[in-house]
Amino acid sequence: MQKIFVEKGRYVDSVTLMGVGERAIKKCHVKNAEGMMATPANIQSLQEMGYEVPEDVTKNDLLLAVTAETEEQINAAKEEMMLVLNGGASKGAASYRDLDEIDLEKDPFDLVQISLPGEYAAAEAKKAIEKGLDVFIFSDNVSMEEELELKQLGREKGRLVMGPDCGVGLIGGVALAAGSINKDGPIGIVGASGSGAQEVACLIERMGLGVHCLIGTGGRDLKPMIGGITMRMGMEKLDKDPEVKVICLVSKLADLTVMSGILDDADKLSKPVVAVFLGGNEKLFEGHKVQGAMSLEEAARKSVALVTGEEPKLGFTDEEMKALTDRVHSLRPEQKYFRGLYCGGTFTEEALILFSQVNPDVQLYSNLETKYAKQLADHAVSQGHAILDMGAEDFTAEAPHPVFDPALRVKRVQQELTDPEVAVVLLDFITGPGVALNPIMPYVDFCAQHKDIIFIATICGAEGDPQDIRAAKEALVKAGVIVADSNYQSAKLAAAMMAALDGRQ
Amino acid sequence: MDNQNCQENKKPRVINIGIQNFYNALESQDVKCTQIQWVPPFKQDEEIEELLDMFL
Repeated sequence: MQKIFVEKGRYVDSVTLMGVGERAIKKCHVKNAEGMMATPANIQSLQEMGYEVPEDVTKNDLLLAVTAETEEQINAAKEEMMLVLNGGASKGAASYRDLDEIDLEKDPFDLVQISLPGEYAAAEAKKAIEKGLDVFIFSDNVSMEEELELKQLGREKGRLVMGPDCGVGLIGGVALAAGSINKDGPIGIVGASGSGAQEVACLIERMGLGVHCLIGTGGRDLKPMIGGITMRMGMEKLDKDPEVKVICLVSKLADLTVMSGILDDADKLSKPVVAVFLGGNEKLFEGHKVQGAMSLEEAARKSVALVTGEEPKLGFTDEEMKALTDRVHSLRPEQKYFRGLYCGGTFTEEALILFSQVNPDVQLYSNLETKYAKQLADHAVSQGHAILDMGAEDFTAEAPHPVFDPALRVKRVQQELTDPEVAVVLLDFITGPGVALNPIMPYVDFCAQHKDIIFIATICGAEGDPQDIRAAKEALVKAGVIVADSNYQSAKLAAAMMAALDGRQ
Repeated sequence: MDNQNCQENKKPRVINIGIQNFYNALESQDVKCTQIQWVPPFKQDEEIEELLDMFL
């Protein structure tokens, strides 16, 4: 039997909902359980599964649908889903339905973290700034006009506006959104690229230091219309913070005038500054005091060296690189291609940049529209040396982002493994308290089963993250996976392997 | 109110609006946090709006 329960006017985010049904299926042994907002697409999908959806529901209503043998099972599954959905309300010190209900004199807060659908995020952010709070906006699909208005308001009120589309942050030792819990230390980061800034922070930790603060700006902060408002405010904050000895700026290549203005302002700070604008070159930094880096790893290295006075050791030696690359010669002749299945957007870009620099003659394919590769005709089917950003919209429109739920990428890796032409598979892993609790282990078994494929992996994570990255790394290594110290190292090895694979033909 | 955030060595007190997993992540870090039980603001159905426009 099938039943649908309607919770009128109840909003629950899609990340929470995706796990709710699965949990009820496992715990209550029902045939099917789904938690969905009543959007037209979801209603259609439930109807296709045979559910009778009441006619008077709106997209603001929550639907809980269950298929089971008995009424008792159905009710138990519904209760299980409600238990998960109500978790936040029961555990919080006080339950509010609106920011305006909070009297900050009686119940003080510092920061509002917003991850609502984009159309609602700006209004909540504005309320927060007007209440005197800093904001961190994970949501995307916020218009540039709204972003500018929020950042101008924030600047006027002296409040930080991190985002929109801000994936990571580390404030007062607390990881925000998809960020990592890095060890405290003398380096402060301002990042316009989420996974890029997180990688720099985690590499600094791997090199023996720590990060005092990571201020995310959102990916569009260095667009001419916004003009780097949050990056400038972040730089000033870190310059005044006595705990910060070196400031590191992380971004993808952005508008030249804005970048140049940021570097001018960075030159005036009292502390040494390292900056990486991925995809840029040394020319950007000519005439500036700021030390330029060409990769995320180099940004971490230079920041650490400025504090310790010593060049940190990390990555493969030339001998190790050669020995690892030579493994392609033991592959079958029909195994010709590399497949990079990334979940970090900046990692994909850093790899594409490196691949095209090292092997300018090797044809690359990607789901992204980029100057570094030919776009795949269908993102669901790889060809040649393919580099996929599985966090991009063409994938996340179908399933949750692989950082939150590995299922989508696990399925894709399995698909790649059925292709006899695949030689090397590269995977990036991202850890932190806000992402999938078990992002690495689902891959270990089939990596171990496919000894005929070379697997390369890299883990962007901190020792303080709940996923236990040491144990995960050991499990990967035991399964025969080559675990590189950084995304840059993994891409360098992959580039060498691609050249070797093409050289065999 | 004192909210200098990362200029001080203290954990920020955070209000979370949206993804519940982010609230759980804050709670697991022993942060003072609350989850807003947010509901979308009431929006007039487009069809009804058009009808109203026709009659008003």
